[in-house]
Amino acid sequence: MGPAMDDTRPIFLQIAERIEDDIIEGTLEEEAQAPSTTQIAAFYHINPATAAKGVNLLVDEGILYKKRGIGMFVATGAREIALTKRKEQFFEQYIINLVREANRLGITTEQLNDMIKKGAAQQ
Amino acid sequence: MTHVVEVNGLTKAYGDVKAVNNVTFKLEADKIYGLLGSNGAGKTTIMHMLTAQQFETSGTLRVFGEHPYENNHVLQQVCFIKESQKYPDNYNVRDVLEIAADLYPNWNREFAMSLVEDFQLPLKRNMKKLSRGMLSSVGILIGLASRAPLTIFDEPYLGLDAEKRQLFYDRLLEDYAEHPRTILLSTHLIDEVGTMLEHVLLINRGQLLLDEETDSLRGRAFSVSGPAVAVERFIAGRTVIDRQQLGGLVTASILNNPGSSSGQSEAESIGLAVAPVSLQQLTVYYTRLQNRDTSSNKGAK
Amino acid sequence: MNRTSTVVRMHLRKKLNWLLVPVAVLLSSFIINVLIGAFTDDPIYTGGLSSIFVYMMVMGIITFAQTFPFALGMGIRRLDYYRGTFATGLLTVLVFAVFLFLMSMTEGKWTNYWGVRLHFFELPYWSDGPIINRLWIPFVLLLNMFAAGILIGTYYRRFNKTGLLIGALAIVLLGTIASFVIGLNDYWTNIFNWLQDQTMTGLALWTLPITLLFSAVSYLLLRRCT
Repeated sequence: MGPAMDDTRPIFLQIAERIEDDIIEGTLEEEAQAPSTTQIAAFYHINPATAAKGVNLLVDEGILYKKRGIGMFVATGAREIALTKRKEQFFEQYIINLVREANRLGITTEQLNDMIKKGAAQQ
Repeated sequence: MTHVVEVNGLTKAYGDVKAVNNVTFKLEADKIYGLLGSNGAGKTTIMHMLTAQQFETSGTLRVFGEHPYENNHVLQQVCFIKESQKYPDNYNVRDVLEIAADLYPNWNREFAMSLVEDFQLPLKRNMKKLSRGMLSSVGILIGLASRAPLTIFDEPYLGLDAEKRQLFYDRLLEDYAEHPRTILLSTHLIDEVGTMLEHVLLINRGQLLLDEETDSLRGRAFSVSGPAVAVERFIAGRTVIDRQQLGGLVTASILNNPGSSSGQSEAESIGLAVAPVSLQQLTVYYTRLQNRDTSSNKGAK
Repeated sequence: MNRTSTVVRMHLRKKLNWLLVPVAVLLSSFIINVLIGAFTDDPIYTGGLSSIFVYMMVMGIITFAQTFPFALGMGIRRLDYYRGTFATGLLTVLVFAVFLFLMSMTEGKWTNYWGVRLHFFELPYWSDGPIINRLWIPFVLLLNMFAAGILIGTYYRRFNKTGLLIGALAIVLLGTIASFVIGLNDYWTNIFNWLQDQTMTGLALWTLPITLLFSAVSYLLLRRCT
């Protein structure tokens, strides 16, 4: 059984995110065959219909495409689409919260910029 | 399209007590449904009525388009595994399996034998001498190997350890992927089976509280905590399903409006701490909410 | 797929219970009597034969209690269960009747009462009349006992302990009233006279409508059993 799902968010979204992760990290290359719904369902121990919903979401976004009778494949340009999507989410999830917390603690935007540079230097 | 199960206004009354009260739902083909609810909520009674092992007081009931009572066309397509199933004292495991093989048209012998090995069932042992867990394993085996178009499991894992329960879930999902069928699984181990369920029915005090896609319930509720004033202002006009106070600190669980997931960020933007609510907790809150409503109604009378 | 025959196969999985146990009980009683007969010069008349009749009724009660909840849980129709169970009962009764017939012939005709003057299978009154009586009379009586067992089983399943108690009380009450009415009108003599006039054939024939009634009532009860 694969890594456990977070029971507080829709599973199909999490499935889509994990496939996107694989594409961004290069584990799944463009034009490579994506895991089948059945494989995903078995691996993550989830309902196949839910797995299919996650896969279909990526098809709608142009990240995966279907080859009739063979299966799902990663589209050319999929990584770019996934990255763009993730960058938008990054802003929503991290930056907004970061700025909000900084305001609460009385950190100015300038100080925040310095802190980000310092953090980047440590990486 | 006809549904596998269509239940309309189904009611089972014992004198004044309504074990099942005006329940209406439909089950579509080849989906896995969870029938959730606390003990005594009416889950088992509904399942018994679906198989004509108990009789409804009122309402209509259709299984594969027909009433199941004395109906072989329906009954041989349904396999109902219940925790309380009685077996003749002098039957051994093999006797029971062979009778099941005789009764269910889709029975698969190889699959049955592989499950016997998986669950380490002693074929020659008397049913009476099986441990509680083994007895549950026999039921699970029949439910899976019968491959019945409608398979009903009523809390089928009593006495099974976590490893065997996992085995059950794994085999169920594997076989379901290859041989899709409608599965109705009653359970209170929502944390364990939540990800397998495509659709959830929540029953409490004989009434249907929820009938929804499982995924649409995830993220439906969240909890906020913070200073009482801020929390009170935020939850005003929202559906509050749980509220707790510790001094000046209030934690409240609230529902997002269907289709919306913006509540969380709104709460965060005004500085409230936001935490997710699991499916299990959500059902508990819904159940509690109804219990509170019914008891306050009674109080009003 | 014929689900009635599945029910018969289900019952016959435990042939031992249906066939061997009652025969074993009967034969052990018989052997003890043969041994006693060997040590005494007096002829022995024994009611040991009755065990198989009582057993048939117990069989009906137990079989129903054990297999009906299982059959229902496995999705067997009540009608199929009923037919299959009665078919198995008929089969068993037939085997027993033939067995009793052969034993009675062996006893009275072929071995001269086993050489020890033991009357176990061939009894006065019981075995009166033409030879064929020794075959069909046990048959209809065993069947009657089996139907009574099934009736008790279904009644108990349908109405539980309280129902059984109420039923028993009702029978006692009705019996008391009936005997009171009979006594009041002085009918007892007539009844005894009638009974005395009956041959075994007559009595056995009288059980047929009763068996039919038992079977019909138990089916009606079974249709509402859960």
